Amino acid sequence: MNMIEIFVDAIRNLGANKLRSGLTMLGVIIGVSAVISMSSIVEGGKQMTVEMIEKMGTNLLSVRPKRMDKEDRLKFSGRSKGLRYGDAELIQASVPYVEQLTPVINFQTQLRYGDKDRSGMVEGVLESYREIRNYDVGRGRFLSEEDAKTFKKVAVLGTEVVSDLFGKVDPLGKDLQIGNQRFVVIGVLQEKGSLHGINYDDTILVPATTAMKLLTGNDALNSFIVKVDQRENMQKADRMIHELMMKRHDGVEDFAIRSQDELLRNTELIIFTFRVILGGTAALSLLVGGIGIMNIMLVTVTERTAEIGLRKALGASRRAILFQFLIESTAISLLGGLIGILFGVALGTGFGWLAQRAITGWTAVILPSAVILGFFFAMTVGMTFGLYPAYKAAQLDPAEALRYQ
Amino acid sequence: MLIALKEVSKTYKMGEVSVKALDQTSFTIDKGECVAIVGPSGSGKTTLLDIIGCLSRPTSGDYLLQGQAVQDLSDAELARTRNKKIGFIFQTFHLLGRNTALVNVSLPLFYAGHAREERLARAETALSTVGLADRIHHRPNQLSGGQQQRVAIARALVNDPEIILADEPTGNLDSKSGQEIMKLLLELNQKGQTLILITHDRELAERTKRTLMIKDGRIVDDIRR
Repeated sequence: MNMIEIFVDAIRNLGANKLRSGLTMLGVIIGVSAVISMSSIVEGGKQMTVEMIEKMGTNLLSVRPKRMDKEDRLKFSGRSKGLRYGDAELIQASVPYVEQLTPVINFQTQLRYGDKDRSGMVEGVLESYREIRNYDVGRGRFLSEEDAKTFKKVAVLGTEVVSDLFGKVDPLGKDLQIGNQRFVVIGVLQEKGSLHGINYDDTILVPATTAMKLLTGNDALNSFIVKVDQRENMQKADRMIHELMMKRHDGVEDFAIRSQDELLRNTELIIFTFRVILGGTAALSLLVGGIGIMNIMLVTVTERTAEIGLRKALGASRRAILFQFLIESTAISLLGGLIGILFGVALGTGFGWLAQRAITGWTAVILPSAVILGFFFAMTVGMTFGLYPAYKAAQLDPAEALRYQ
Repeated sequence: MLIALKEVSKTYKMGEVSVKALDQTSFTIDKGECVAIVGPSGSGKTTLLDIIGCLSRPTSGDYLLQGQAVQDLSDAELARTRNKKIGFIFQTFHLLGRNTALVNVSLPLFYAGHAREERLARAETALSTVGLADRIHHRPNQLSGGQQQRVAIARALVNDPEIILADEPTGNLDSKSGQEIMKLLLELNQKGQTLILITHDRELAERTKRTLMIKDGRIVDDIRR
């Protein structure tokens, strides 16, 4: 028995009543197109978020001062020392998982070159900052260990600062007034763009030591950032840092350790939740579609009772009848699946195109796995929900069926 | 002996009530015979057709087709027997409306497992035999009643069956077409095809060489001419 012939015949049967076939397929079409288009939206969102997080650097822990609640403030009044340079040095020396570490000292001040000036947030950092934050140097060089050791008055600028103050002039080697100090520009960072409101090109970097000595006048830190050597060690590093800091701060928890890993994991949790909802919706609509197919197939079997009787009279076995109707229901759902894929890809691409215009950094993604999954589900739905009607058809008594009015 | 029925009974259960459609019928039919089975409606002739045509099994008794006891066959074997040995012709033609005459006639060959080219070739030959060579791609709704019945006859012949079972073949036809069909069937019988004709029309029955009269599930007369 040739399956392909039966399949072609089945498709022809569907064409005989296009409206009914179309309505029957609707559930599957909607289910499959929903899976594809929604998964592409979720994927696009996930990619954008992960990209964003990774652009800030990977495997990072940041330690910041924490504002204590009223209770703790009273308990530990006067004993909070805040975040100090010594904390960073201690962590660097004591925690084995630390691959890179940089303190960050923020200083808001006026910048001046020639007749141009603007205010800016100067960041005092060490040479490790480049690798930690995934910055690339476009022109010149980055801050060096030597610069920090010798308290050099050198600065590395982002492209936006350069264009604001220097215009088209090459800033390398030029003097830049930072506050009441004269710095020399030694490097320009490569353009990085903005993500989620943070403009990575609006950057002024100077050595941390220089910043402490000449700008702030103290060793207080705004934060320090640790790059952990491996993802698996993030939690261990977190705990060690917490322990050491608590000891060093006499049990006063005036600091907070934030893990970028935590951010990623939160994102993953949100994505997972979305995927579950998505999966549930798709499963539901496919279920509805399947029931629709079963319903119509039952009606079809009843309508074609005499035909089934005739086929049996001519020698069709039960299996032959079963296969015929099973293939018919599979054909409906497969066709619905194909149409659903077309719709889903169109919707997903369309939405991605729109999103790219509204949100920077969005990439339109069509998951091939979603397409395959959708197709596979469509086929399964047809075979599963078509089984009962096909069985009923196969079990018909030939003599009775022939004479059915 | 092609067909032998021995004390065949068939009882149907309609809810609480049992209906005895056939009551200990016995007869034999030889190869090449032309037999009419005549009786009023409710006499059991339809049930007899079902038994002979292997569409249902007797409740008791033996039905031997070419020496093979049909009641012992499984459902799948019954289907195969119908496919190979029986050619059905029905009052309402029972053609597939969505397919051409050619495809309709090829259907028994499809269930016999033949390849497509062979099926269509043999179907075309069968259609020529009944004089419809120029209509093979017509659909039933493009054919007259007489033509449709001829397609059905071609279909019944295509697998070279032992028996042609015709159930009121002229019932849905006008007298002219009816005559043509009877003429065709009798011609086929003359060429050696065993023909069993079920009808309530005595005039029709008189054109056959043998008539079995059935009443209340029993054979009441066996007239040979």
